[in-house]
Amino acid sequence: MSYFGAIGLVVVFVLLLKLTKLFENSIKVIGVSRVAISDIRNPELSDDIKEIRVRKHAFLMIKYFFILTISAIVCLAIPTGLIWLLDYFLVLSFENVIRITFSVWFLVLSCILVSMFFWYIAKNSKDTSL
Amino acid sequence: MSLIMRLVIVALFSSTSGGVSAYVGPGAGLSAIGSALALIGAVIMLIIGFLWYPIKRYLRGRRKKPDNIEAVTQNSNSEEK
Repeated sequence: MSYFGAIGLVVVFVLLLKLTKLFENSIKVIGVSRVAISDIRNPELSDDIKEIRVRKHAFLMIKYFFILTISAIVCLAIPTGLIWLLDYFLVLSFENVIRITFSVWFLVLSCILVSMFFWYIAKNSKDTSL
Repeated sequence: MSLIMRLVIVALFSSTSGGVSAYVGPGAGLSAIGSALALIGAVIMLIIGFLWYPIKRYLRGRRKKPDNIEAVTQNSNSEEK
């Protein structure tokens, strides 16, 4: 039963990652910082325009910081909370599930499977966009 | 340092280190990197946007003032003549 709990933990976590668009938002942060650096280094822009743009990018990055932090907390807290609830109702053992989740073989296997899942999704989305 | 030497050092450290409970998966890792980058970037942008450019403008304004005063005095002198 604990194995199902560990698999469920990872599956719910991955689904929440997709729902909260955590990957997309993380990549957007890199994009915003790149645009901000190019704006600062652009010799064609005046200092006044640079100032306005840099402030805009700063607020955007603060927004992304809160979005990413809250999404990460939600992604981790919901599956862990579900396992804790199941432990509370004596369906499975929370400690066993966590022990299995942190075992080396489970981590390696789940990493490979999750990476393959995201790679497959990214490939499919590229195919449909073409 | 050659590649083989680097690999030997990595292998030595890997074989001697004990287990640590500090695993961060790809999902949590990427989100942690993203949020850290967003926070650091936001702080830097805030400093540049709210401190650096206003200070730069102020300093430029102070440097321009003496020139303006000279221009005004020159104009007034030429008008008097």
